[in-house]
Amino acid sequence: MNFKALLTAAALLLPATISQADKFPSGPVEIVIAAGAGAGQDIMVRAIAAELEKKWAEPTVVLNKTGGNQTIADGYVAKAKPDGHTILNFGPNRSLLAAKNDPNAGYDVVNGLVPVTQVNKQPMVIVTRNSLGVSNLAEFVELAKSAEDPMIYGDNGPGGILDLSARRLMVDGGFELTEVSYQSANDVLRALMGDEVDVAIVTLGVATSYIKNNMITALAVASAERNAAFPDIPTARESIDTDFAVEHWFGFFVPKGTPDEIINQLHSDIVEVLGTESVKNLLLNGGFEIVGNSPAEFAKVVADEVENWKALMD
Amino acid sequence: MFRFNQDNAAGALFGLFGTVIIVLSQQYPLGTMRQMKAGYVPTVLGAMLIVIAVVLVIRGFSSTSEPMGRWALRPWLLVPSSILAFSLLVQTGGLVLAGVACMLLAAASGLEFRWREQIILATLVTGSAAMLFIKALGLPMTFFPAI
Amino acid sequence: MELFDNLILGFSVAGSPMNILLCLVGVMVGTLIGVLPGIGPVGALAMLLPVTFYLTPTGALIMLAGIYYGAQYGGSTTAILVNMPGESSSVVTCLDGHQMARKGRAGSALAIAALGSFFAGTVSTLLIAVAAVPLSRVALSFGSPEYFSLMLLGLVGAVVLASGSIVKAIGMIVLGVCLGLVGTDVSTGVQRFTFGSPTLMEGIDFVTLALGIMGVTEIILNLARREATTEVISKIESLWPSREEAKASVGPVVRGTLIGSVLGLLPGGGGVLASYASYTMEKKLARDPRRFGNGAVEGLAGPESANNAGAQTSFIPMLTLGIPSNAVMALLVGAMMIQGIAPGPDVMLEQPELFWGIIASMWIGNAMLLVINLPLIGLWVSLLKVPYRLLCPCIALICAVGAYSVNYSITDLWFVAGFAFLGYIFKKVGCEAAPLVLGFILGPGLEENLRRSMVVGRGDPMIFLNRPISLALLTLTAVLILFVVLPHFRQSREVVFQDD
Repeated sequence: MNFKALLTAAALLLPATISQADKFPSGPVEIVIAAGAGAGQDIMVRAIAAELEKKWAEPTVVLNKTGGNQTIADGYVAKAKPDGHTILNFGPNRSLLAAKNDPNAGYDVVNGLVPVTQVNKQPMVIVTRNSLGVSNLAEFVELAKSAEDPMIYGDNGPGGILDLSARRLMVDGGFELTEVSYQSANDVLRALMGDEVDVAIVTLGVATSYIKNNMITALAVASAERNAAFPDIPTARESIDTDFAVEHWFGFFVPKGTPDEIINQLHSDIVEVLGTESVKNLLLNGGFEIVGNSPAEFAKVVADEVENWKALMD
Repeated sequence: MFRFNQDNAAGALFGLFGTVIIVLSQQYPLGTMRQMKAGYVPTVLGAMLIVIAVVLVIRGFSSTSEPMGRWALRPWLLVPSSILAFSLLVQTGGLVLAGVACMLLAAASGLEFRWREQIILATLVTGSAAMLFIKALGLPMTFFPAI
Repeated sequence: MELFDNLILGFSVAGSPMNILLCLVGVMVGTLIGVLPGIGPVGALAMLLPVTFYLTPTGALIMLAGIYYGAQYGGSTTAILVNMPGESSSVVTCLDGHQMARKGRAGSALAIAALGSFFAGTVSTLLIAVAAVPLSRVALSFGSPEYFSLMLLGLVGAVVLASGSIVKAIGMIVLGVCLGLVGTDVSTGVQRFTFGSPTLMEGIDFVTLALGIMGVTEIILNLARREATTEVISKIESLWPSREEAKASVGPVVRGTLIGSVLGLLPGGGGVLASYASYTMEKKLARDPRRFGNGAVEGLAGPESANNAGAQTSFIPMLTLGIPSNAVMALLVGAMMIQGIAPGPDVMLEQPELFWGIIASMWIGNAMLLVINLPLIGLWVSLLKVPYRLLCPCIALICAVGAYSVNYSITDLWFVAGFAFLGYIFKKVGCEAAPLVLGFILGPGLEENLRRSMVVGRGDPMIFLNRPISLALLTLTAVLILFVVLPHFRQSREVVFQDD
């Protein structure tokens, strides 16, 4: 055995060891969400996780870390090793505002976490109960401004997107509403149909079949343009003098400090999974538009969102 | 002579819980009847517990109150300890060690305890349970300590 | 007639070999999950969701639905045998079911539970077939005040659950409600009683509480009893119910089915209440209510039927309106969406094979469960014959693993140990666990709906009385309170007279 042979053998083996280390993921992956089992986000993430597991051949589990208004889920991922094996799936809620509140918290989506890709987006719609008797947003705003006792809006928990959207509308439209919380968007719709709350801003997917069956009244869509499925519903901007536009989305984040190659690989793997039959079906049926943008593009979306919601912080 | 019977002991217990709850609830805003905040209902409930405690303690002074009876100390202390033993060992020691510890402690609280029989039982049952849960069902637990 | 055609369609869909197989797999997995404490149908369904990708929509839903009501059957088994409620709806089964087992009537108890559940399943399936749409309207007419009144009725009824001191039962209920409040407050987002612990922020888990204060405490109690006396546990009698038991069960089963069918329709809490409501009704209707809590067969037959009926009818809001009644239904909604079906009021019309196929398979599933469970009774009963010194460590292990498997959290296990320790203390001072557990289950919903009703009603408490359903429920509550309190006074008056 001479020295040269040894060196050659080592040189030949080296690429093999390097590519082994490069293989991502190299162990079980955890995807963390702040919703409980059975929630819309939970089902969506489980479908994605199942496809990822098939692709990666590594166990990919979904961890439900509810409570603390998202802070537990965020904190868990922010503090995890930045090797891409712990991922957060996040949708806009109060912790978007946390960045401005407490820049040192380190667990929020601006400071402690790095965006990977945006999964989907979905327009929201402003709906009221039929018995309220208003047929467009302008009438509603009039009613709201002149009401002696503020009218009631429903949401699925303080700080969630339903709540934030409604608060934004209150600020933009110049009127007051009283908040009432339920466990889920479905419960809010049930409350609308039961005449218990007056108005709510929910995702279009959840409300579609009820609007079509005339069980609730859609006043306006909350996005910047009209929706293709409901061309007759005006946008909020058309109805009243406002630049109100909100959207619901979900995206993946990893802890700060995760290497770029891993982020990029995560991005392409997730985008690939978003194209599979089961995930596509689920998302489209839920009323979502699939996005799958790049980390840089997503980072811009997040920054825009933080700006968008700034009005609520003051 | 003062003696603890079922009624005044129950009263003491409820009184303790009620007080703790009321004290803990004070850190949360109470709100009003129209807009009840986080502390409202717990405070009311704590007060109810104290009322019940008082009623029970008073009843405890009457002669119809039943005595508490013998406390079975060994089961009372050892059975919860068996669960605790499991909890301390399951992540560091694996399912088998944790399970055996749990079963032995639980068995130790009984009247008859024969070492050989219990160890055989513990090993067999824990072994099969481990097979079922980890191999068949794929639950994330380890057999033995991760060395 | 149309119903007939629909049923034929349904059975032809459900009867396909693939769907039959999926139904069988579903109910067997469900039974296993129900028997093993810890993981429940929600966890199992969440884990199995990816499997549904490879199935047809109807097949997927048949299997998942089978898991759900299979778990109900399984949960009753452990409730009867070892006082461990697998599901919140099985807590009531522990009360008299386990007492029957301790008297040697385990076989009879298991048989009655299975038969009653099957009857309830058949009737409620028929109900769904006939009246799904009008029944779904009921689901919509329940607002926050109605839920509050219903839950209040349930809590007052919980006092009836206790066979001992009423004051102590009330205390346990109140304490249970307080335990239920631990965690994040829905309305304001405040963390209550969590001491900064992330585990507690999600609230105390039902499994943790039930395993601790009922399952493990029962182990302590059994050991304590054996220390006290050397008597051998009563010989196990025949596996089948006696004629008297069977006759006594008929009324409760029918009434339980009706109560369960109605309550199951109410999203968010209806199904759980079914068994409690049935128990309360049976105890109040019985000629000799003191038998309850000691192995009265009515206290088992009624709630078991109500349970199963509720589980079946809870599908109605989901199938007819697309509104899930609980987390399990939400997962089924997800499964539908993955398959490309948008749940909602249109499903019944646009996908009749799916709708009627599921309904038909529910009946098939119930029949399968009966056929599977009845022979198993012999197996379970012979397990009970094992000497306790060998059985007890096994039960302890199952409790430990079960509790751990919910969240893989060590703190959960500490809670189980703590509740078990506390449970024995409570038993020694004459307080019972069942009212506490019921308070724990209903409490948060009670508070949530109370606060919501007050906001919606602008601070006017009359909202509870102004609405007909709520008023009716509150009146029932008042009547129930009278029923509970009056005999108490009459009794003490009798005692007084005796002293003279």
